[in-house]
Amino acid sequence: MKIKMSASRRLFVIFNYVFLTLLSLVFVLPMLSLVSTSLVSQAEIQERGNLFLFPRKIDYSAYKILLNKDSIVWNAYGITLFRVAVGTLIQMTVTCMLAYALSKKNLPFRGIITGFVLVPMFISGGLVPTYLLIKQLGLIDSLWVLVIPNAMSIYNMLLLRNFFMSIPITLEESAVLDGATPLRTLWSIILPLSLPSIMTIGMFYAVGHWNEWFDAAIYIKGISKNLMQYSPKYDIIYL
Amino acid sequence: MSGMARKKHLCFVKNIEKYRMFYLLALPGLLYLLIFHYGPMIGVLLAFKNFKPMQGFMGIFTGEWVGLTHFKQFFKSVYAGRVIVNTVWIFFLRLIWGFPAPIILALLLNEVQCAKYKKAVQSVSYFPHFVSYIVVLAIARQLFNADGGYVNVALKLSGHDSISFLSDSKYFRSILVGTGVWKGIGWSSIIYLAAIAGIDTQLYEAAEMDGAGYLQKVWHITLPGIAPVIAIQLVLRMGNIMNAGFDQILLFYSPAVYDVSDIIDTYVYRMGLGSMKYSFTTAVGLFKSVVGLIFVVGSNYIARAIGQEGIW
Repeated sequence: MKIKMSASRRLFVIFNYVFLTLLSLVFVLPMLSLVSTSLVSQAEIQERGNLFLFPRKIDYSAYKILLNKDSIVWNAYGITLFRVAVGTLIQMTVTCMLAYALSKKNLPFRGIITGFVLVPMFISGGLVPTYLLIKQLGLIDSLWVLVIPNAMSIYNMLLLRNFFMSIPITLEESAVLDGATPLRTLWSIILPLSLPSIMTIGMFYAVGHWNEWFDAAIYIKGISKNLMQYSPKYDIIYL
Repeated sequence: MSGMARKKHLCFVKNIEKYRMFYLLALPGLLYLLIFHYGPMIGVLLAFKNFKPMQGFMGIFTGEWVGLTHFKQFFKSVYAGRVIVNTVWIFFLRLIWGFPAPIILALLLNEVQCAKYKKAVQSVSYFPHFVSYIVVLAIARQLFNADGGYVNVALKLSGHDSISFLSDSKYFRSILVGTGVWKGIGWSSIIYLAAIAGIDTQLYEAAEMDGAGYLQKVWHITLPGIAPVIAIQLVLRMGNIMNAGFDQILLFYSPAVYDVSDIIDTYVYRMGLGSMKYSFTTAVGLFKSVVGLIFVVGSNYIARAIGQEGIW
């Protein structure tokens, strides 16, 4: 009985490793193939078809066209970097400050404020009213439209608030006794203590900005302000 | 009595005074919510008005009332049925394929003894989560393009005709759902792996003493152990029934596959920002929001009823 069980177990373990390895390939291969297609010459594609994993000869001509001095890609990269850097900074500042204020259990009107924060999680004005508002605010075609209308994620703010609430109050009391303002306490005591959470949420925000394209597509008309992702879109592979 | 009330009042005022700086800290966030989240909510008035684009934002207040005209127009049109069915159908396809997948992945990963291998597979599986749908589309094209896509090359080699998968109504939804699962499976498995890690190891030891096999341990300990997490994830997901994945579909679809992929969001996008039917599409969006809200509230209620912590 025991021997038979271990045999079926062994079979399962083998199956498991094979399956997970195949699955990993499914995650990696498409990316790899995307990269290698960008690194072959047009001639080699015509000769070999599309079906290969590694190029015979690495050919940078696609990148030469893409990255030449006058290419829009530089501008697009610049805008993407701008939105990742400035956007994430704005988000982190706004998020940390509100989360810290709401983490104070004795804050008067805390319940009402929390309610005010929660409602937009479930109700939104929708696409068209938001567009009209952005237009009214004069943000159309402005770089700031990429970083201001999403200055905070309510969900991330609540995550951070919960984390702040779990920090023992005694740690900040000494700072308060020494006359530190809440902003000072937040900066010198709370943030260093919650560095892992801050980093995690910062990463969520940064990845979000890096991958976001929809707001640029609807709010920005001129190509000079188009994001890296949006402007070359698919062309990078087939150049 | 009045003295005490006054004292309490004073204390309250003093308390507000004491927390003055905290309100200041909260101000940017609250202002942001007021302008960019509550502001557009006023805009839903558009749904009941006849708004002309040249009126600008103020037209929300000055436009003439037309009652439910826009809603009636939507429900009478042939598109209403199509976009609602597509939205809910794609949502359910994503649920059926996308929901169990990360759980199964977590269970399989949990059986891996070699920590390094487990970690490697995990890291690789998170990869697609950090890639935007634009890149996913590029990959999908490379696989499924009629001309030179890998799958079509394989089809040709085996003597079949090539199929333009991305513009074929028969395959389009499968590609949507498949690439969606591919993108999300690794990242979603984290929460289940965390739940599995939280199960008391003594339970497994006790089961082993009683002669339980591996499968029995999974069935009687692991699955019940993570059942609460599975339940809450499922319930929360049901609240998203009106969201079938707007940004992915907007990138992937084309007029050839509108019949199977045009969802409420994409319809609102085309009619609203494309054809400038602002009032009409606000009405359609409002319909979607109201149904969505009912599901969110309902699923939260269920979550609390089964003894879980809801969203609020």
